[in-house]
Amino acid sequence: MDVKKEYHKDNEVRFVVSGVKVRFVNALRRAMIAEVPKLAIDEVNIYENTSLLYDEQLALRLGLIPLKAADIHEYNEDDAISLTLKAESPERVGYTVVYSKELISADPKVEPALGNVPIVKLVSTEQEINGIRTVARQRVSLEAIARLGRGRNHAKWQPVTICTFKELPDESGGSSKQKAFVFTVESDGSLPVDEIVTEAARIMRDKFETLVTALKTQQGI
Amino acid sequence: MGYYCLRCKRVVELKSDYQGIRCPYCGYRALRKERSSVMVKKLKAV
Repeated sequence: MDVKKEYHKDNEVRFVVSGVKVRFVNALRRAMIAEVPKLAIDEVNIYENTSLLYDEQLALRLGLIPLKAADIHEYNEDDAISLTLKAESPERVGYTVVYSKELISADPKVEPALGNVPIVKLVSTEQEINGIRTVARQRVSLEAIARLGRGRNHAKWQPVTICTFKELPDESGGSSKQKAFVFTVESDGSLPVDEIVTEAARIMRDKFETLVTALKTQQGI
Repeated sequence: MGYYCLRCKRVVELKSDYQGIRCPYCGYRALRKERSSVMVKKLKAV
């Protein structure tokens, strides 16, 4: 097997894997999507929501915000990290958009990977009732609980946005099934893209090692 | 638990002898039940 890195940016990597079969690269792709753990908001406690979004819509939008941790290996699936959000529309007529950077984390090592993800738009409207002008404001106050999870349980735990491979044309014209594939992986910002690839490979290796150990123990190979 | 008027946002207490739903301040007929400060809605983010 031969690996050659073609292109590497902050959140994107492209590399060519040659001398392998399609089932191997597909297993790696699936491991990146479904097995690499990351943090995402799993539960939301809503104290107040007078915005136009339903509580359920708000919770779904929060769940899809990528969160990054200083070291993902410090956390396990039982850990819960609290993030709070409190926002209100302007005092005068107008609107304000609440972004992911306004989520305040109880754990300083955990924060939204992208600060510019819009969560909800809060609108202040003017109303005139019996000659008195008032401004109706919208408010959101909630606590979000983030947990470690894997993409096989929900897409919000997928650390990749793009994870594809394409077969390179065989220039030699041979009939060998050992082909070359160009892999493109893009991270959503929650984990460095290199770490996603290496973690997926490590997970695959651990699974095979467990399999071999179990077979040796049970059958005395 | 109180209600509040959807137009003027004022808190409205409904009396038992009151024969209709109407805000006594602005006359609007759409009232919403207030979310209690102790009530927290727990949701799964899915």
